[in-house]
Amino acid sequence: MNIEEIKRIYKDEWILGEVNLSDELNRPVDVEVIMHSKNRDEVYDALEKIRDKKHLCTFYTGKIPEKGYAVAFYGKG
Amino acid sequence: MQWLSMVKVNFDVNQPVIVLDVAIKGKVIENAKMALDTGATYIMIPWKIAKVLGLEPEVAKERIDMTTASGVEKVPLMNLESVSVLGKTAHNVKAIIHDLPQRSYVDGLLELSFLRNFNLHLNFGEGYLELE
Repeated sequence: MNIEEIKRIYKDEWILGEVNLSDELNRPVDVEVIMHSKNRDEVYDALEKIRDKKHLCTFYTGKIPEKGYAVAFYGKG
Repeated sequence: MQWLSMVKVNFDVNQPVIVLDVAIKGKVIENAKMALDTGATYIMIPWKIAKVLGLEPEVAKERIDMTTASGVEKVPLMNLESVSVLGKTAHNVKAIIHDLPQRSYVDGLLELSFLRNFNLHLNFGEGYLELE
């Protein structure tokens, strides 16, 4: 499935996928969705359990950041 | 020589962050989304991506102080076998292992430990980024 199709079907979700094809800039273009969730931690938990795949990807399908949010990166205190 | 070639991509200058696709090679290849940040030292990747790459951050030999808005904390500092962005690859790239807040909507941060291997040009007037 191509990335635009994934974004359309799984709107505003985190995706864990197996990359079937990348372009010349190493960007995934064809991805098989393994797991999708609104909760990033569920996707990361699934990622950690993957054993038999060689090329994986994770990404969020919504706007980065959400409308109305500004971005400042900081660590958890 | 490939590393002298230049890659140019457009970005939306109105977006609050520039997000790039980053392919990290370890035990597997993991494509993650990272926010471009030229203001800090090391690439930042989350714990669970580190684990799937075959790293063991919980027993990392090297830990460094990470200064944040909320204080200073010790975080694992580890070597990534290779990191590729826009077709450009750097080897043995140092990364800190730390989870960003979920609402950052990116997996990590792309920092100087990768960027200093290349020349990076950001043209906000015309909305493009070049890496050579």
